[in-house]
Amino acid sequence: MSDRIAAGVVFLLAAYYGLAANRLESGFGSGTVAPKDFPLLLAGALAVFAICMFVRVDPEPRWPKLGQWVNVVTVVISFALYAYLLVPLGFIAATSLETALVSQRFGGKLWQALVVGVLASLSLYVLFVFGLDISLPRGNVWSNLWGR
Amino acid sequence: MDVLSLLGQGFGVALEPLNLFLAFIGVLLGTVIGMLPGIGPINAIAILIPITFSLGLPVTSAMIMFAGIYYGSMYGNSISSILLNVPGTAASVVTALDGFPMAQKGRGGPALAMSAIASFVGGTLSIFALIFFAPLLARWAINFGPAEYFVLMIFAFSTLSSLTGNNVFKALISASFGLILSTIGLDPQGTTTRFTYGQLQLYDGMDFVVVAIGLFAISEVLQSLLDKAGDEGTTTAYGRVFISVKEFMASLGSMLRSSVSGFLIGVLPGAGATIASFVAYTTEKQLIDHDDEFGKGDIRGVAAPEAANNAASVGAFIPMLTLGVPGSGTTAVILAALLSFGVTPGPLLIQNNPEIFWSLAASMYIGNVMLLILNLPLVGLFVRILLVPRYVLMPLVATLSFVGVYAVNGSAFDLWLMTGFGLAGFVMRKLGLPLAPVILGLVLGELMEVNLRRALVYSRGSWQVFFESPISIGLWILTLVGLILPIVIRRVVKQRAKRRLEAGA
Repeated sequence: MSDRIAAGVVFLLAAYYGLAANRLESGFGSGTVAPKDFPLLLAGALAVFAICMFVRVDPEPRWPKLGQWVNVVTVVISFALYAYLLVPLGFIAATSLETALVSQRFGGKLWQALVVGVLASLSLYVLFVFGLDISLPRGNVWSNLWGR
Repeated sequence: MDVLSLLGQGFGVALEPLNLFLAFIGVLLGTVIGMLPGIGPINAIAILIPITFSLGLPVTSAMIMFAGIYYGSMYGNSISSILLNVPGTAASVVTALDGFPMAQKGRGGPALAMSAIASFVGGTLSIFALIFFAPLLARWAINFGPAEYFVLMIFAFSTLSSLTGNNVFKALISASFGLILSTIGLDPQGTTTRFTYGQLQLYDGMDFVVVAIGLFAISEVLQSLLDKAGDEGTTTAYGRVFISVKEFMASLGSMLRSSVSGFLIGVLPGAGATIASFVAYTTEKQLIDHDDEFGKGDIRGVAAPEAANNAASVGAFIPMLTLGVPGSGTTAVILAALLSFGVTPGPLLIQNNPEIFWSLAASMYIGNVMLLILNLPLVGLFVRILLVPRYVLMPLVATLSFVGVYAVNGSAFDLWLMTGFGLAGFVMRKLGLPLAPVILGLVLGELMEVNLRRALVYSRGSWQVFFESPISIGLWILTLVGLILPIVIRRVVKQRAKRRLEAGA
């Protein structure tokens, strides 16, 4: 059943992609092959493969249980939040928190997780900023807090 | 110039202190990454690409390091297979079949030694073949026009699809996903933006580093969340890492045969080390396993897949370097790295950039010797790394992914994309949609479209151009055979199994 639903989703995706491609207008001088031609070819191919997948179904996969989904979704949301907070909080603070959270999800005790987080973020910061000369955000919240 | 003097010059470059150091870093990282389940060479190379840029490494040096990571991972992946029954990468799944029983019987040491020696044999033999075949293939491939290239890429996708996993259509869907991702951004002619939805960050197209790290590393972190906590490895005592001359001689045939078959499978576009190791194991089982010893701890069952997967990892460089069509997920990432250095792999690479090819080949010899030393006496140090608990390892994978992706453009948007691809990769894993074809499609998409366009411009819009030259027709036939043969074989095998079952009952 999962395969059937997935095949349906893939087919809809192909249809959507094909329609979106069809609306693409050719720029000046595109000549024989328009910008939409290759995408249209791909949309057609994907639609055919989706139909084949619908017909040839594999055994049902083992989906995670509800509790496991909660775990996965929590971590995914934390990744997205991390991206949002990275610049304001700065690399060291944001990464320490995020790494600690993931560590804790993997069964680390709170103090273990915090140690992992702080050590990982500090050593990566030193490695990247001083070793590799790649700049990482310092965090603008702190400079506001300190007054400057 | 003859091969020896070219190779000599290659050694000259490979022995420069910087390149020697990078080869060492590469094979060391490769061994560790190959050994740790969940981190493969694809993630490692993808994370390192932005770093090599900011360090301003020359392209040859970067290639030496990336190649070292790839074949080094083929050495390391057997360590966890043998000691923990957890393959470090898919290419060593079959190594566990005999390696783990050996470890259980207290013969882990010999198994580790055998795997290192077989890896060395497979690796070094296939470098000879690489030096011999790559220039030949390149000379032949110069005749390829855009139409032949387009068909060649279709062939690459078809072999990939028929060889990864059970369901051909799922692999084809994955490959199409990758191709579709490649169409995002400015079109190859630079006249129209496609599927950007007004997002400026998408004008340059999908950054494959972001996609690769998301699909492989992040989805692996999510996937591991499902495993029970506290599954950390407890390695058994493995004794001395040593094999007797008798054991070596008994396995020599297996090693040599598997090196040859592994190399040939590696050269096939789309196939790779994983398939090579499977083929080698099953062939040896049928050829020499008269007493039904395979699967119970036969040392030849360790030698065969390890020789094969190393040979294949070298062979996979041939289509990537000479045709510009990678033979595996890892070589696809290395190809993308070459492209971002402004080097276009293809028939002219060996002619125009001989220093890249010959230094790479020379560094592979050096790297394999380093790996043999690392993996025989020093294996005990690596085993310690296996004992690092998951609550340290997995967050590190996630954090390294963040930094790697952020280092590309310094944008939070890329981190969101990466997270999205991580979730997508997680769902795709569950549904049995393979991930490597996505990377292949993303990397090859633009080339494919450019060649389609060129071919049609030459032919004034006639699609017949794809069926005209003997090379194209040959490739179409191979494509059809590649797609249909596995289905037929599977059906025959199933019927035979059924008949045997009925006969038994």
